[in-house]
Amino acid sequence: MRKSKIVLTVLALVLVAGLSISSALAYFTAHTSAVGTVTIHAGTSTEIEEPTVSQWTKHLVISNKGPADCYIRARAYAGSELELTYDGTGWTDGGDGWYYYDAVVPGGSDAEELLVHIGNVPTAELAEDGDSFNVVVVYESAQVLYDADGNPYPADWTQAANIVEGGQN
Amino acid sequence: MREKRIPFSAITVVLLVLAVGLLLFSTIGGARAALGDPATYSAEVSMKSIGLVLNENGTPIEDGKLLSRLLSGQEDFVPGKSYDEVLTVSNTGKIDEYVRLTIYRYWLGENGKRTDLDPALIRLTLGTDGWVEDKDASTAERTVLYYTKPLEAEGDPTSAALTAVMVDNAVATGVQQVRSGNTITTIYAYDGMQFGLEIEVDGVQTHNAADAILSAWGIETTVGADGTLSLN
Repeated sequence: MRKSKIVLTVLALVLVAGLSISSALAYFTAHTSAVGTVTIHAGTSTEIEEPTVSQWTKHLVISNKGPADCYIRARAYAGSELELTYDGTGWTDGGDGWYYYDAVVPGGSDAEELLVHIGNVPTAELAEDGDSFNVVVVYESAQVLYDADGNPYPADWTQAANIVEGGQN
Repeated sequence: MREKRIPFSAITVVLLVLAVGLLLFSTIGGARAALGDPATYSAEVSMKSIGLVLNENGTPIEDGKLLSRLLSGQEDFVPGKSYDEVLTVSNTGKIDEYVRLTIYRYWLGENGKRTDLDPALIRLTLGTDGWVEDKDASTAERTVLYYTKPLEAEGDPTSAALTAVMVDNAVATGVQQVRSGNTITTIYAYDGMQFGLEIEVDGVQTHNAADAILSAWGIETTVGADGTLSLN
């Protein structure tokens, strides 16, 4: 009997509470989203090949192996008794010992051949077979940087690396 | 002989049933009958709706994909160059609304987001007409913009919130040095990385705008007599 009274009381309270519930209000809202990514390439990757050496002339081909466009310059070093002269389509003497390739080398392309003539070779060197001397070729590349309109800046051979702290994930 | 006890008195049960019945039937409205000419009356009622769409360079984005039309053909993205990326918002609902646009920019590597790379190198050219930036909510990765005018239903889209995107040339000189024993390997930190742009657009009704914005977006605003929205 007591239990039944409790049940009825609870039911009555629930009914009364149900009458007091007012309608709910909500503001109108909307939402949309979009996401996208683009891959970039930074830095250069170049290689030098010397497919032929003939008549005291080095034939040099410098290739841009990376995806980004780059500028190239090169020079050679040899003993003081030797005389080095340069030749090649699109190559210009910078007056500082370097020879500069005039055009931008697109990614995956080669620069025109650079010829390095070795002159004033001592007669003794020519006479003795098997003797050798060194001619060292050095080349550098710099990524082409663009302005806001997409026009390439002239090559900047003074730009230094900026070390970014952290490492790859 | 044991007296069988009835758990509920009959009167109590009857009263309970009556109470439930009164509660249920109280929702029925009164019925009236019109006397006279049996003409036909009709009325149209349209439900209010709110909606919006993000436009990229004039094209509505329906598939959620951004930057898919940034480059033409086989063009490669080059640092330093500014690419047109005009973002506007159109009202596709039946009621006017205020609009908020949030831009997220970040770098992605093979294994996900790269928090060690600087998102500020992803340069955004923001629109200045009609949009105001919430500098308190903006961070290096996130830029929050509010359109200060009500965006009318079936009206013109907003002015451009974003007009161009560019990656700074500094990515060409950023390198990282990885040490392994006595070997130090220098790598270009940004080579092969992806820059990501993520846009979220929110709209809220103009009716009771200040309360609606506070409830939906959690910020206090002031709405002028001409409907101009300003951040407090």
